[in-house]
Order: sequence, then C-alpha cells, then structure tokens
Amino acid sequence: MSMDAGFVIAVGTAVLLMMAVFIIIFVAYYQQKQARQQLAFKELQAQHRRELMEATFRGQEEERRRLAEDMHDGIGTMLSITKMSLNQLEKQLGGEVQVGFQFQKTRSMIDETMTNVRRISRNLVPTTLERFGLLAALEELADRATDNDIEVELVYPEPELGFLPALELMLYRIAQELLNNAIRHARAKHITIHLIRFENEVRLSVIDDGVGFDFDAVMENRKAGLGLRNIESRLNVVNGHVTFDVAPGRGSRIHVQVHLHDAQPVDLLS
Amino acid sequence: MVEKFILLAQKYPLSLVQHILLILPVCIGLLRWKFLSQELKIITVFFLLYFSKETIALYFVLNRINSLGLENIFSCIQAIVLALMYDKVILSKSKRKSIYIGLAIVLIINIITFKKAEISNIGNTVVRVYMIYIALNFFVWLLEQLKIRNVILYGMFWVSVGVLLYAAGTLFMYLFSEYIFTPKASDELFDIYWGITQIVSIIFCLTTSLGVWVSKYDSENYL
Repeated sequence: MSMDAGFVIAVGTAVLLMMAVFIIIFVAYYQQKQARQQLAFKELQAQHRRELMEATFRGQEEERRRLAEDMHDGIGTMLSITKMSLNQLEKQLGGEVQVGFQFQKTRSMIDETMTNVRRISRNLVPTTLERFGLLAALEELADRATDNDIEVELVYPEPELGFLPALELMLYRIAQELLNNAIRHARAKHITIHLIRFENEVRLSVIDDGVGFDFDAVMENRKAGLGLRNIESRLNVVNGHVTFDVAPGRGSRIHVQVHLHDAQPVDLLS
Repeated sequence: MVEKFILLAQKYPLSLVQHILLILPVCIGLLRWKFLSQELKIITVFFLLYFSKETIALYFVLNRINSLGLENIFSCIQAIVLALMYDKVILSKSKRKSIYIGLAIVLIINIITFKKAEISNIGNTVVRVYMIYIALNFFVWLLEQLKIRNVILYGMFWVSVGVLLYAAGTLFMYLFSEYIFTPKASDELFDIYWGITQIVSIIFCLTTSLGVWVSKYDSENYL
C-alpha cells in the first residue's frame, strides 16, 4: 500500500467525519431554535385566542346584565304600573260581575307576565351567585329545575369553596348549560351535579339518567353543538377541560376539570 | 477453535467489543418495544441481523473460510433496511421516491460489481454514499417539517447521527479497500484502519441505542 493512499484515506476520513459532526451540530442547534420559535408562535396564537374568547364572554355577560336591567326596570316597572292602573280602572267602573271577571283575568295575565320577566331576568344575571356564591346559586338552580317529574340533586363535600367570582360564574354557566341539556334534550328524570374541590383543582360533574346523545353527530352539527362548544370555549380560557362520557340510549356523565393555578379568568362581573 | 478465538480477541479487542455492543440496541429495543415506532423496530431488527452477520463472519474466520463475500451481501442488506426505515419516517413523496430510486441504483451497482472472495470496493462505497444521502435527506426533512419539539429526545435523530458518522467514517476505507484489505497491505496499517472501522461501528451502536432508549419520549415530542 502506498503512503499516498494511506494519507488520502486518513485525511479524507477525517474531513468527512468533521463535516458530519458539523452537520449534526448544525441540525440539532437550528432545529431546536426553529422549534422554540414555533412553540413561542403557537403560544402567542393560543394567548390571542384566549383573549378573544375572554372579550366575547365579557361582552356576553355585559349584554345579559343590560338586558336583565332593562327588563326589570323597564318592562317590570311598566307592568306594575299597568296593574295599578287596571286596579284603579276597576274601582272607577264599579262592581259589574262580567267586567270584574274580565279584570281578574287580565290581572292574572299581568301577574304571570311579571313572574316570567323576573324569571328571565334572574336567569340572565344570577344575583344569588353574586350575593351568596356558587353553591347557593347551584342549589337555587337545582331547586328551580326540580318538579314532579324531574329531580335535581347537588352534591358537594365542602361547604366553602373560595373560588374567584369569575371562575364561579364560569362554572355556574357550564352547570346551567349541562342541566338545561339534560332536561330538554336527554329528557332525564334524575340529575346529579357534583362539585368537588381538591387541593389545586375543581371538578364539576353533571350525571343524568336520560336518553344520551351521539357526541360526534352533535358536534358536527353547528347549531346543535353550540352549547357544548361554548362549554369548551369557556374552559379554554382557563386551560380547563371537559370529558363527555356519553352515548345514545344511556345516561350521560360529563366531567369538567379546572386547575386552580391555571385559572385566572377575566372578571366577567365587572 | 476456542484458542483461536482468544488469540483473535487479544489481537483485535475492539472487534470483540464492537461485536458484543451490537446486541445493545437489540436489548434496549426489546425492553422499549411497546414505545417503538415502526422505523425504530426496523433498526432494532437490523442490529439483530448485524450481530448475526458478525457471528457468522467470526465463525468463518475461525474456520479459515473467506467471509468477504458475506460483507458484500450484508452491505446490500444495510442499504435495503435503511431505505425501509427512512420510508416509514419521511412522509414527503418526492424524498421517498428518491430513496427508492437511490436504492435501485445501489443494488444494481452492487450486483454488477459483486465479488465473492474479496471486498467489493465500488459496491461498498456506493452503499456508504447512499447512507450519507438518506441521512442528510432525513435531516433536511427534519428542518423543513418542524414537527419535533426537542430533537435531542427524538429517537430517529440519534439513529441518523449514527448512520451519518458510520458512513462518513468508513467511506474512504471502502473506497481504497483494495489497498487495505489485501494480503499486500502491512499489518500495522490494516490494524489502524480496521480499528477505525470498528470505532465508528461502535459509535453507530451507541447512538442507535440512545435513539431507541429515548423513543419513550417520542409520542410527547411532537409539536
């Protein structure tokens, strides 16, 4: 073997190996740098999406409050005045039986309308939640939903939860939506709402014995899946998640989980 | 035969170490089998074949049977297995097409230049060039796609590092193999270059073992 060939092999191998090492270092460094940028970009996008959702929910709550105030102060007051005016008119017209019966009927219609206005107004802005907290509001929600056919039960091991008002409102809205779905769509007879706080986590579960639903089919339908998508969007804001243990023909189990250290929702009540 | 083996082991300790280390990626692969993607399963099987080939070659050497034809055949197997492996990981159609066209060229050249009793320098060199090409192809794909969160914890990155270093470290030796692997070559020079071949092969083993070891992070490592 000539020394020239040996020299060529040694130098060639050394050069190739050096190039290979350089390429490997470059790929590792450049890929890491690109991946970091990509991650930062994705985080920025997610943050932007969260901010948009926060703004949407804040706007929604403000609109609900305005509507509730208008209904209570405007329509409610007008109905009260109408009722008083009707009473006065009845007194002025005298005690004819036929007319008295008509007045009585009109008064009960006004009363019913006033009750409905109050109910809608209360649903739009949960004043119990603002005054007495989440558990009281959920109890009220369960009581209002319970009747001869439907039984709604609230289970909570701890009487004191100590959540931020905005998180309480978010959980209340989710419970309200799930309860509404269970009654209206799943035709459930017995619904249980569980609310449990662990050290750094809160779990809200709504379990019913209704007819269930096909999750994929509902989510594919833009209109039908709006409520469930709304729940997911609310939870996205606080990095929470929801698990749907559902199927057609059997009761549903829907679990919501929020890590409390991640949950810094914007104050929707302000 | 045992005495011969001991003498060989004393003369070429690196060869013995390399031979034993070939089983390391296989062992780790079997331990991590449930985490392994298809491409990493292929490389694990490849090292099992590599170990088997080295064992047969050792048997041939101990029985004074020429094993160089086996080296030439295994070189083709190397190219086929690596092509199959990268086919599983590289999802770009054009790159996959180029891998298979390259493989066809490599196999044709190897068949034409096949030698039964000596190292086929052209065939082996072409296989090394092909290995460098597909490893670089993978790196380009890795940078283009940006699907991996942390490349250091990505199994196929380490396997490709091994492929690139192994091919780059042995290319010139196979290119000039007619000067090294002949009876005319001095023992001293043969030992040096044979030692280098064994070292890069050990590096290939170790990087592949590392790649197979970190494969358990692969599922969480996507962007």
